[in-house]
Amino acid sequence: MNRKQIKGWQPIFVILLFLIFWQLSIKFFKIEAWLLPGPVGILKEGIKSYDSLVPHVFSTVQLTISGFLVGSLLGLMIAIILHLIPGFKEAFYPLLILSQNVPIIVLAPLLIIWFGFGVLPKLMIISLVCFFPVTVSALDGFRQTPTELINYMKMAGATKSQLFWKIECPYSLPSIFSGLKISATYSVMGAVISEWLGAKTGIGVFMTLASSSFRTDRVFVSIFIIMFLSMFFFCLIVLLERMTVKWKSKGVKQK
Amino acid sequence: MTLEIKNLEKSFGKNQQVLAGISMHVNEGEFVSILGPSGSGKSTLFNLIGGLINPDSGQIILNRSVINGELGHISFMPQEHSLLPWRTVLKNILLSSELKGKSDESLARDWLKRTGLADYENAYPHELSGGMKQRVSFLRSLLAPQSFMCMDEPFSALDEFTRLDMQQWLLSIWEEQRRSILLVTHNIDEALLLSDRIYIFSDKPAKIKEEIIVPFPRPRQKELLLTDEFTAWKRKIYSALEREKPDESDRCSYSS
Repeated sequence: MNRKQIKGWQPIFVILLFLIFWQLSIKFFKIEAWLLPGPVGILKEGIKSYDSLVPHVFSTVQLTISGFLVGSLLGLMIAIILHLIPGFKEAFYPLLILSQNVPIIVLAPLLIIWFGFGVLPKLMIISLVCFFPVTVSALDGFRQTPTELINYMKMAGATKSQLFWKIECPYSLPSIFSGLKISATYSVMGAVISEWLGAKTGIGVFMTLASSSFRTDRVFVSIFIIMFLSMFFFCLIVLLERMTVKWKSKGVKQK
Repeated sequence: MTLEIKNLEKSFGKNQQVLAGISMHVNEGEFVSILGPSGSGKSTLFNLIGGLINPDSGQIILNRSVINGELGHISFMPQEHSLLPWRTVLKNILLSSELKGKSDESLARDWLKRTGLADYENAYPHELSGGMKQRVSFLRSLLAPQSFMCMDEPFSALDEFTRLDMQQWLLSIWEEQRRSILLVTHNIDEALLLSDRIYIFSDKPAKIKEEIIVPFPRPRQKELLLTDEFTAWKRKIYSALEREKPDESDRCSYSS
């Protein structure tokens, strides 16, 4: 118990140390605020523009969540289809990998040309970033299901769907959650990128405006907000994992 | 439930014959063991009976119907417990009947109580010791809708003390239930203590070398292990197992 408390405080201590070092070196080297503001200045700016920030944050969060949901559901569905239909995995896997090699920065403007400035192209961008980790991790999970469990179930007379829902699905839950954690952090990035390219509100918009008017402090405010959001969604998934995969988290605690 | 196996043959690849004409049977309510060296194709035999693979020739007959290559006819207790880590003890026990659509929770609870596992009803498998896991695994196959039980070296991963305990435990339950059981083991004591009949398998390719009818009356207690009669039978089986060795070296020198 004692050790756990210390464990929780160590990273915070390191981060605090880093911020103090940052603040001091700005004072020491006399760096101009428009080049690199200190953490105190960033915090002040964040508080000052709080009112104007809230709608931006709200719209980014909304976009992130909907994009994440669409992306990870799509990812799961793709994984299930590729897993259950024989031969599909071999046929489609390379295409999946290729889809991740398309530079988003180039693709995003194209999507906006094709589908306009609405939500659709933005959701597509986030989904494109989000689905892949979920698909890959789910497929790995399905594949790694121990043969002795599968053989046991087969001998007991399990049908193919029972095999999937009672064995492969629960077995791959922990690895699906690993994918979801990655996707959750990616989805914030995806949302911001899609906002850069054309939106009325959002952290991405706030960021572009700030950087084109040399408001470096505001750029950093949005960076911190993005970092915080990514962290927040990550923790949300971890929480969800603890609630769902009880048998695993308990096991870890025991050790 | 009766099982009859007629002239079963199975080879993997071209030259690797695993089973060379196995014929055997298990009568209603009989406990039969297969004793043989490790890797003598005992597990292959179970995969055949379980329907995971098809024999090259021969028949597997359960209750007068041929079940070659058909899944879901037997209740299997594997070497590794194969419990599902995300299910509690109770849910694991219910699994086999759940697959057939009907699971009787109160019956399962009843059995947990009778076998001293009631306190573990809601425990997850990783919280149990090796012996406990095997007990749960045994209950799972006991409560399966298929009444013919096949056990593949169920206690081989346990330490000596736990194994003795488990054999006693199994004996007490079985002598009450009298299910038809086919057990594979490489432990002579285990085979003698538990079974009505023992088939001794030869090394690969597996043939039945000898059939031994175990004369000890039931109910049996673990004290039986220490009697002279038991030791005499043990010696008999041991020499039967040994007898193949010259045969083996003949074959080796011939092939080289």
